[in-house]
Amino acid sequence: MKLFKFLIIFTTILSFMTLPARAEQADLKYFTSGSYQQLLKEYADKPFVLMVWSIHCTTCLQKMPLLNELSKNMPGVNLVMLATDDASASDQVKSILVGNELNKLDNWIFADANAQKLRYEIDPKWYGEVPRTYFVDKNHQRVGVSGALSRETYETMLKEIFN
Amino acid sequence: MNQVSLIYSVLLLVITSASLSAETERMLPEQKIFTAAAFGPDGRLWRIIPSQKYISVDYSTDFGKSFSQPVRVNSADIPIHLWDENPPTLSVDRKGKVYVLYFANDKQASTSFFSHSDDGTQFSQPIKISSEADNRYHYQTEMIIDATDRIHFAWHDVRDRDEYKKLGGGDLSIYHVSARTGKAIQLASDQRIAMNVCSCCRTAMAEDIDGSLIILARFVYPGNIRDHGLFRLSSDGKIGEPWRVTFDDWVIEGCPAHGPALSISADGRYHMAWFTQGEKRSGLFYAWSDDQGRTFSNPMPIGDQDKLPGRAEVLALGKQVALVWKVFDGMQTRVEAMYSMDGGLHWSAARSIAESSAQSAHPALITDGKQIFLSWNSLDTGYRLIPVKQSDWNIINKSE
Repeated sequence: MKLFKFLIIFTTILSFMTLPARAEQADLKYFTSGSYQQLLKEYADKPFVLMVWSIHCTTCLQKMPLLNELSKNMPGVNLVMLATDDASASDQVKSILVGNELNKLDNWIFADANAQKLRYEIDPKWYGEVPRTYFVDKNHQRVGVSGALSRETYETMLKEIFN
Repeated sequence: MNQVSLIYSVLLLVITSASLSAETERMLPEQKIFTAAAFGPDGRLWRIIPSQKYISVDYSTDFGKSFSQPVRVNSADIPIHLWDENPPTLSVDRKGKVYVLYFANDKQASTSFFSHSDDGTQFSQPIKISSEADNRYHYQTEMIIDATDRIHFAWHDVRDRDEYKKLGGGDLSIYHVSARTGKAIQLASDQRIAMNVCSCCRTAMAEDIDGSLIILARFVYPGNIRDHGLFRLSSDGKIGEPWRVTFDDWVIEGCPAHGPALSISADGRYHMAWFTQGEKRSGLFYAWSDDQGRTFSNPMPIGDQDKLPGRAEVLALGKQVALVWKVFDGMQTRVEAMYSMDGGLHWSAARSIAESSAQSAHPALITDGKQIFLSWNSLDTGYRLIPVKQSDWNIINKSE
């Protein structure tokens, strides 16, 4: 019985010890089958912007300072970022996000080998080109746009979904 | 067992299982699979098996039904770094030498390496392909061995980034290096062969019947139009100017991540397949050229537009031409195929020749010199080699 008690205490301590590591991982959530529906639940009755990008996409990287600026100027805007690189690129993804001060946003990374299925769950008409931005209003009606967007487009679209 | 050792064992178990679950979680998304296979002159089918720390090859003497014991290519572990548009490549030359090209994280992420072997039993030390391999990010390397036994590599390289910044572009350059194959392979100095190439789309290479190397790439044209261009590397080393061959006007400041395919038949006809979402044309297309790519036939649409057709491959063998591509309906991925017996003038109806409900590689077409095969790999069904034959296919489409 003593042994049992000890083990309970020990495993509890162990699980606390591993908590900080998990909290760090939570900065970059794994996007798997069902995650898009989860996002819709998390942002129920709320508008949000889903910005899909990749570390191999030069254009995506060039637009990050603009995103940083928008997220700072419009703190009420829910900006969700999703990297389509597989989870083995997590470190690269994290360092890019940190470098652009975007690491405090709701950040995700593809974490299912069947990337096509993940893309389809987000949008059955999307071929996988990036950047891809979805402006989702509070009723979750959305507009998806491929390619980098100008500041003006962002501002116009944001006004539309947040009003 | 006394109490102390019991506690110790349980602790060990707890710690091990904790680290195991972390390891499994980390490894799970990396169960990526690729299709890289080629026939040797003796009819053996060679293929690449990537794992997380090394690349192996094995071979089959029964058209992919069974495979030999795998042989490691890189003896020292290194983190292998591949993605769908950055797959490994395997070539076998006419003497049966095996060449393997792969990507691994070294001083730069996804550094290009290659190794060669006289007979596939033992491989050379890995050789870095780019002269700037340690300093500049480079990827999407393609490998081809020409009729004079020279091995060529062409890749996407960011080393001219400063030049592009000045010009205001977001694209990069293609670099090339070649070498004579033999016991030891000494790469010549590499050189830039094209600029303003879309950074994320694989480039296609084929050898023309005059011995020159033809490269088909997605270029970035003024106004951020991502259409395709061809250019020629003559056998005397002359680098030709690229010229535009698709006019779909896909304007996107971004990454299609969807490269084209090219095959040149023994009669010198160029066969090209490509993907676009242009203003003028959208979807997957095929066209041929009889004047070394100066002009092409009217683009022939491929695949069901409602099922995301993409990743087309084309291969010509004499007058036979095969086209394969992927479709996805939300649950199933299928490889569909079309077949021509007259050099691409008339085509069969499309039909599904393989399917998977899991992750799958891009389809590839290979030949043993007698017939054309689909070479494909998926997580649920494993590697498959499927002949693409005319059999009773109805010829219905016409491409002129």
